[in-house]
Parts: sequence; C-alpha cells; structure tokens
Amino acid sequence: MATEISIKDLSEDIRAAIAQLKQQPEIENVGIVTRVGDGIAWIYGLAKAGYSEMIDITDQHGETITAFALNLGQEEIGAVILGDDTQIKAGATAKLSGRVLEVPVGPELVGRVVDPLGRPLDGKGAIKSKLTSRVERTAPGVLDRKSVHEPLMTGITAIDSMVPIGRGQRELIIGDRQTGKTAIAIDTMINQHRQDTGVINIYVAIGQKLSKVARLIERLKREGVMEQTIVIATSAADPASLQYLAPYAATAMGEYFRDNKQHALIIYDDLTKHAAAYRQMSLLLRRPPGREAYPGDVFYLHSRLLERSAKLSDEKGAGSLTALPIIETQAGDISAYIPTNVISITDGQIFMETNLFYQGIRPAISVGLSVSRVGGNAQTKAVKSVAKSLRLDLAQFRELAAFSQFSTDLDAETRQRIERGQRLTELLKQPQYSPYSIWQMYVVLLAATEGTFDKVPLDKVKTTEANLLRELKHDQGKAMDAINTGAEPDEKTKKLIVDLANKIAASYVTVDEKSKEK
Amino acid sequence: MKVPRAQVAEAIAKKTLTEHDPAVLAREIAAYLLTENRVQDLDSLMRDVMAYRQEHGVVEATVMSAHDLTADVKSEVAGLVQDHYPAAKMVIIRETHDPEVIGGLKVKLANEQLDLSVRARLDTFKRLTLEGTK
Repeated sequence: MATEISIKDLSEDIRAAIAQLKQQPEIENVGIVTRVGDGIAWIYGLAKAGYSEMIDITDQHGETITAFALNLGQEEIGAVILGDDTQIKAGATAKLSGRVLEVPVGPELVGRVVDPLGRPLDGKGAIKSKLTSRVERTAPGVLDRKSVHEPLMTGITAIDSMVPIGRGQRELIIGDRQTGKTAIAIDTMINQHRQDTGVINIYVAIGQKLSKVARLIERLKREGVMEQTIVIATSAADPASLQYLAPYAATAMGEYFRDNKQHALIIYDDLTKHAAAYRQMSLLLRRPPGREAYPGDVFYLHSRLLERSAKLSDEKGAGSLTALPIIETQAGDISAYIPTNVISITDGQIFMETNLFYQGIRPAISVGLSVSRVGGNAQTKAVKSVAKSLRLDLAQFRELAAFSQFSTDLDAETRQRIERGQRLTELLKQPQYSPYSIWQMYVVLLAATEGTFDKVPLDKVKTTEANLLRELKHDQGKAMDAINTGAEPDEKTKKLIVDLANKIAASYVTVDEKSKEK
Repeated sequence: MKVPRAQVAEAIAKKTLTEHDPAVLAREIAAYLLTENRVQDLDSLMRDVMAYRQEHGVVEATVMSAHDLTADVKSEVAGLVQDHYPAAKMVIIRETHDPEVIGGLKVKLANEQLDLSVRARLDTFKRLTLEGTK
C-alpha cells in the first residue's frame, strides 16, 4: 500500500537533513606545518598519513594548497607541495584528505595540452572528462600480458629495419644533446597519423623549455597529429613536484587507452630531467644521497613507471601502451648512473651519435650500439625479408671504412663492400617530418641489397631513390598498397621492382662507370 | 562507480511507496547524497522520483495560489488531475502560496504544469493585444 509521502515535502526534509548533517562536527586528522621551503612542507601531527596521500594545507588567505606525503616519520611527515609554497606559512593547518592523487583520463583529453594534474594549458576551456585514474598504479601482472607481436612503425627506415619496435615495447632513445632524439619521437607520432594506425600519442615534456614545447605543438598541429595526441607539459620553471608527477600522470592517461582495447604511444622527454627533479625532492626531504647524489630508490622510480607500458593479453582486450623514454647523455657516456638504469629497464635502445649527426648522417643512429630486444617478432614480414643482412653490411662497412683510411690499395671485394656501405648509409638518411610507408622502406632496401645503387654516384643516390619511389607509386599503386599491409610480396612483384630500379639507376650511372663495366 | 541518477531515483521512489516515516527516509537520502558528493543532484533526482511514481499511479500535484484553497477547489483540482491521469490510484495535493499568481491557481506535476492563474490570463491578453497593434 502506497504511503502519502509528498515528494516536494520530502525534498525539503532532505535539504534540512543535509544542512543538519553538514553541521555535525567531523573527526578529522589535522596537523600543523612546522617548516616550509623549497617546495617541501614538514607537518607535525599527521601520524595516520599514508604514503603518497593527499594533504590539504590552508594557506594564509584561506585557500587550500595540495601536497602529497612522501616522508613518513614518527614525529613529522615531509610532504611535497603541488603549488606555490610561498603562500604557506609555518603554523598553517594541514588536513589528511584520505585520497591519493588522481588525474582525469579518457578520450576527452585527446587533442589537449594539460599539466600533470590534468588542468588545461591550451586555453580551450575545461576538460569534461568523466573518469579519473590514480597517478600511481601497479603494472599489469604476468598473466595479463602477451608477448609483443604487432609492429609500431616509426616511419624511419633505419629504425624499422634494424631496431624494430613493437606495440607494448619500451625502447629507449639515448644520446647527447642536439642529436635528434626528440625528432625521432616526433616523426614516430607523425607516422601514426600518416599511416592511420589509430595509435594515440602522448607526449610528456619534463622540465623542457616552453619555447621547445610550443614549437612542437605547433608542428603537431600543422601535421594534423594533434587530433590524436595528448601533451603533458611541465617547464623548467615548474616545481620539482610537478616535474616528478608528469610521467606518472601521463602514464595513467595512456593506461586508459591500453585498458580499453586501444593502442597508445607515450614519449617521456626526458627521464634524465625527471631523475634530477626526484633527486632535488629527495635531497630536500633529507633522504640519504647515493651515487651522483641520487636517492637509493632512483632505479625503482623508473622501473615502476616503465613496467606500466605493456601489451595486454586477449582476455584483457589486447590493448597496448608503447613507451619511448628519452635519456640525455653527457659526452656520449652511456655508462652513467641513470642511462645504465634505464637501459637495463627497457627492451632496447636507439643510440644517437654526435659524430654521425655532424657528418650529416641523420637520423644519427649508431647501428652498433642500438638494439631492439623484442621488436624482431613484431617486424612486418616485408621489411624483415629485406633487412636481414643490413645491420651486418653496415657494421662491416664501418670497420672497413676505418681500416681503409690507412690504405690506398684495396682489393675489389673490400672496395665493393665500402661502396655498398656508403650507399646504404646514404639511403638511410631521412629528412625530418617525412616518415616512410612500409612499401617505401621495402622498395629502397630491396633495391639496395640487390646492388641497384652500387654504380650510382653517391650524390645521385637520393635522386635515384626518389625517382624510383615516384614511378612505382604512379605505375604500381595497387601492388605497393599490398606491400603496405606488411605481407612479403611475391617473386613477380620483387622482379618488377628490381627491374625498374635497375632501369632508373642505369640512367644515373656515369660515363666512367659504364666504361669500367665494358 | 557513480550509480546513474535514474537508478537512484527508482530506488528512492520504491522506498517512498513503502516507507511511512518521511523524516527517516529524508535522513537516509541526505546521508547518501553527502557521502556520494551528489547534493547538487537533489532537484533533478526528486523530479525523476515524481515521474517514476506518476508512472506507477501516485500523482502529486502542487497547487500554487495567492490565497488559501477551499475544500471545494481542492477536490476540483484533484478531479482535474484524475481526469488528466485516469490510471492514477492516488492523487496527492500539496498547497503552496505564491502572491505572484495574483488570482486563480497553478497546478504543477512532475514534468507538466497547468496554469490557471490570473497572471497567465493577463499575460495572454497582453500578448494578444500587442500582436494586434503590430
């Protein structure tokens, strides 16, 4: 039997009850800020604080500034302030929030530039994200994963042929300053758009110059890549706490796509600055300094971050999060503390060499020091079939080229190896913002390994290559599209490519070479 | 995970059909809204509750008038609502005062309103007059 409750009266009763409940005193965990400075607040009286728990500190104007607990002592706790520490004075009240740090996640973030707390920086208004995720989450377990088997094409021939990257892999980009590390990351993002892979790009700028970030965003917009990209930006002027949080927050945003059957690529630019920000925080929190003054848990800092990039099992939706962390070395020293740590955590590294860069070999990838531990399984059959001997050919060339500097008289085989090596090096040069499709890589590498370019003068190699690609695209569009699916082409198509390549190359062979042949 | 508003409304509506003490129910709902941080949803939630109850035969009408209603007027309004909702098993009439109505009355249901006020008549008259002068 229905009762005669009036909903309008009930509404008023609820309103009164809410007001009454709000007035009831709550038992809160409250502490007092004893010292503050350099982005760190020391708080007395928050004995129940949890690690990484958010603390609301009331500043002198009555505004709330958030901090998170990192040092839990018996007497007092050390908290890192996520805001302006100059507004907090000793004696300020600090309350435990009972929450750990969360950031907005979801498709609403795509196309946006945000800070590590998910606040917009692009002036496009609030982010209407429905979901939030914890900044610190544990990585998927063994049973939730699958081995890396799908390619993540960078569009850079040297990488996709010799150090291939798979979806879910962690491939480190390492090198000195100004050697083209970020350029590789940007090209990879552009390639995801050009090849329409559907991979979501996440770029994390950690303590970067804002002018560099602005330039990058401008370029991404011009290339149309921003529509599938999230940029998380922190500048060198931001507090160390925000720089420390940036990669974790970005990973939380990437995990949304990984866990929802999608694929995402995350670029940490760079983890050297991240380690430096953490060192600053740790020293201010008075944690004991270790090697190079980094705290004892600096390895765990990056290992727990990069473990979150994974290829999930079919039961978990088969999504993936691929990581391209960047590390800056000093004078090519990859045996420094942070580089060795991250090298051991990742599934391979792409080493950029300053010498190569200044010789005009760009991308300046060192073939000898670069490696991909798991990407081979993810390489497309087409590229794999022509890239088998490439690494060996180039390594032999480098050795012989060094040796030949002391010798003038070389036997024919050595000379041939050197000439092939020079042409391969020339072919692997690639301007920035121009990633190659699978068919373009396949054609170039097939023609090179078949010796098509051997007689072409060095300065004409790139022109020959461009002509070959243009003619194939024009005359054999369908066959090239078929190669783009990744499958190895049949013998007939191979012959067709080689014949056309030989024909085009012949038109560039000099009179000298022709007379030698006769 | 946030429970959808329609689901919460349905649960509350079912409770209102069985619970006899509105004060107890109000406290329970207030506590829920506070813990779930959904106090701002109260108005829309209650409208959903009214709509649900209306679908299940309990129609609630708020009669707004400038003066107290006589018993005759009240039963007339109940009859009017009953005519509008022939399936209604129960009609709850709730009376409120609003001097802005001037004369006559306004009947508000969950998602509908019947304006029989002098103010509405005057507004119509004004609109028609203005249209006529154009």
